[in-house]
Amino acid sequence: MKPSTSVNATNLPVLLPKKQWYNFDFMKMLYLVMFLIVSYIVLVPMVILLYSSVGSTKGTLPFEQLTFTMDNYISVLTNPLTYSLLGNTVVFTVGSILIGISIAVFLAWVLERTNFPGRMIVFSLVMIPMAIPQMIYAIGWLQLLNPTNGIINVPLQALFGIEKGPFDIYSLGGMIIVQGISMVPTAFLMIAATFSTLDPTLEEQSAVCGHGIGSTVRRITFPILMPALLSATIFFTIVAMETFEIPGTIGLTAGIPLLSSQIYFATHPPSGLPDYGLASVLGVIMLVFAFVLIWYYQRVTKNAEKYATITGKGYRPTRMSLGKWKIPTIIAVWGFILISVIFPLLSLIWSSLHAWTVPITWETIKSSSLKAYSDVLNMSEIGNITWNTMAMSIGSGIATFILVGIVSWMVVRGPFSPRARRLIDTVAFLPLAIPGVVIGLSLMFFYIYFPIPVYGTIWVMIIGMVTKYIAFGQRTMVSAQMQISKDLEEASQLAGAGFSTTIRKITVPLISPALFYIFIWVAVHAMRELPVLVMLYSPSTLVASTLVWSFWEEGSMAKASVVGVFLIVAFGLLFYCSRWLFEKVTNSGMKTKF
Amino acid sequence: MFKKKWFLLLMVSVMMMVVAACGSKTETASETAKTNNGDTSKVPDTVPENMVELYQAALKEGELTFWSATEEAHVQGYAKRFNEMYPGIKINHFVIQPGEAAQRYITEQSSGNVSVDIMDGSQRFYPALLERDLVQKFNYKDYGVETTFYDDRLISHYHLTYPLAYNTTLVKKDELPKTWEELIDPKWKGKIGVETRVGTLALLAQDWGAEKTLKYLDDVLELDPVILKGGIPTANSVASGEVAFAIGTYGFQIELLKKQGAPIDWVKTESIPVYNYLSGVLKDAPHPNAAFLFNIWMNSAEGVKAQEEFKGVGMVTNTENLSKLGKAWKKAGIEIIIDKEENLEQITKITEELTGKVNSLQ
Repeated sequence: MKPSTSVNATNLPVLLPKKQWYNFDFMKMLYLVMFLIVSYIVLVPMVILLYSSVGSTKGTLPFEQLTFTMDNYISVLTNPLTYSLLGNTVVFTVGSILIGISIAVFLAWVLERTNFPGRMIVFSLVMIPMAIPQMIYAIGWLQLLNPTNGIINVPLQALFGIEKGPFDIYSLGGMIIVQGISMVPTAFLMIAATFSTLDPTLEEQSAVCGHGIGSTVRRITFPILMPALLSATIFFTIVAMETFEIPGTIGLTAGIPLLSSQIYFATHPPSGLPDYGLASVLGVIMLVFAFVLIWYYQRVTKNAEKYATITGKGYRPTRMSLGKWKIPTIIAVWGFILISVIFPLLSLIWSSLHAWTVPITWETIKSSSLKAYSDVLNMSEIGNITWNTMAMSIGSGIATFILVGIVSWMVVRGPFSPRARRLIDTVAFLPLAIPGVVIGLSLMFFYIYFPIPVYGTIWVMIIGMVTKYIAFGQRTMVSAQMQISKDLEEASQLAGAGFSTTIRKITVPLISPALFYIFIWVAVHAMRELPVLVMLYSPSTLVASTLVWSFWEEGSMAKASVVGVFLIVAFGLLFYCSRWLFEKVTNSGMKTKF
Repeated sequence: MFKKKWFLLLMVSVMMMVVAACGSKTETASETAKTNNGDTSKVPDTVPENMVELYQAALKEGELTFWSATEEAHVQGYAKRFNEMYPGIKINHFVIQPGEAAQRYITEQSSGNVSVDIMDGSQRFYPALLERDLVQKFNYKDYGVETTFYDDRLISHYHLTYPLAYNTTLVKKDELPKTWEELIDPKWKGKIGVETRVGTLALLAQDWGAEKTLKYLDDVLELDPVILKGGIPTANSVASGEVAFAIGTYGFQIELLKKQGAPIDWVKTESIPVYNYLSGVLKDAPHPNAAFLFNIWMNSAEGVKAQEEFKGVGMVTNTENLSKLGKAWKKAGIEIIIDKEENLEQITKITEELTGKVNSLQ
């Protein structure tokens, strides 16, 4: 049974030939405005990236160089090291994506499509690692699994009488596992949004035809989820290539450098100015990857309607019974929570109670202290930092979901030519390939020079966050919108509703889970973001992530961990408050998902 | 009903944006000036005679902006001591690493929107500024500063020291190496931590030369070290027992952890490498007089004492005002290898080579 049985030439998503129920000129204007906004956000760092890639930036900043040269490209492309790093990066990326997306699909299916008990608590716990700055999360894993004195390895060493623990995190396997696990919350959000809007009728019909859970998932659920899975895969391919925290904390000792290691060391040299030329060429290589991936995605999902499962024909979210698989599923889910959430969380809390890392013994438990909490809470700027962090993260979340909500609707539903839709979709995806420090430097440069008075304010940080995270929002939102049949909007029009009423009463409530996920994801990532913000924050706009970084640099692991704990609490508050608000405003009945 | 909800969402969104913008409010110079009573004629007794004129000019400016990687709480401590001697001048501090500070300032300066007066960092971060003539020359010696660098543009704030650190539980005293070379012993295989930037070895290269230094790193890498990112996590790894020795952590951090009871100490090697942390007043600084005054104070006996009091750093060589560590090392007959102005090119080159090697990027 294929989910695409309803596809035919007449209901393809290009609406131009059909009679329209809204004013086409207005649509053209909307496209133009949105295209200009997205281009404005994306092109500033993009131009700097391309410009510095063809400039002599050794010892100069990108905007200072006036000599055009291909030396950066020649130096990178003729260096055998590049290909060795690329090879490592491919293995690391493929491995971590396989782990991260497999676990995320499993969790999303269990929590969104089955009668798994305690979904709400599991959902919340899965999200927690998102709030922990990546560097601290990676260090937490080192504290757990380093072969010498990792908290998990030590008792095993004593038990088996061995000098080194059985788990060695300093290996390619260790890097892949930690990166894969760290991807789960985001991949889960990207995929869960689609699961939550998946019409169960097809699965029920499969069951009626005598297919078991495995067969139904393979033949029905996965094909429908194709856009979301592809989106997540494409997104994480670039993320895994660009991210440095885990390769930087684990990979260096393992002796396995990646492309991101080279970008990091080019932009964070031990002396002098960063080599933006070298970093930009590597960024351009990633940009090429991004182009290829987005082209493939658009090709595969060309017929968007075939992924529509929310139609006017009896859409009602119901859940499958796990039956005899209930106990094994509970063990698997809670096992994952224990490894990926509880252990790192306890490690973080433990770090916040001690000035340096100590093993867990009765003596060290007795010597635990809340001094770091008291020190952080007594800081004179703590009120300002809290305010800035909340304003910046919530502002970034709101700005991103509004932007991608409109742009993704235009890509999936808009009455524009396929080329126009592909163009805006591609432009919105590109910032993902631009290294964070390049985004930060570009925005700093642009807003210092141009008479838009946002340099040194929260606004420039919000623009930076929207630039960095628009790609995630766009990929998630496009996948979710593809599941909604345009029949519903047309039915609304036939019933006499206008354009805005249809959007408000039909489209937005149906996509509200995805909007909520995007808001939460962007807000939380903005809270912990560093590479972009480090170039944009000012003394009056200190935020939590820059505070973690300064504690880290200054040597207070305990205080950095305290801020990590506070970020988790802030995330919890934000999650519940915003979910309540979304439910109230959109009438989406999101609570039915839990 | 629905419209009301949409109106609510819109209002919440707009309010958040407005609130975000308001969050970036800064205290203006005029507000600061009000707190200084604007009276520059009265000079407190604490101001030395040769500093009166500079102090009065600084007082008119009322504030300065200092970019440094030093923790905010420590700079607040410095500010308190500074204001005990020179009241009425507010220090606005911005925590930023020297590399980022340099590129940020260059961008600001090229646009004519300079917000910083003074920054600090080791000399490795200054060539980009000096080549562009962006650090102001000043007659520091007229104000009692003994040593200046780069043609009277930079003066020293403190010495960032890099002793070999060890875990006192894992390593017995009689096992301690007496020289850096003695660390190369198979019994320490897998038990040595190395910080990624390898600044320690770049400094030792001034004595050793490039060839010996690179060979030394090769020998260390043969011992399967744990590569650590950042001087502080490196100290933490020693204290926690993940590694027995570490190359690349700071003396002040070892002392801080020791004070807190951690099993960590420094090894009495024959020499200890040190970076001279320099500071200069930047071109187009909005408050140059206040910045010069603060810079001179940081270099003075009072300023050095404040830095040792709050951050635990100080001078370990070339001065009578030696810090506690400086005195201990002098007593132990340890040679201090400080980064010399004339060796900048050599240090920069070897640092790049060492960093590439240790991070497997060569």
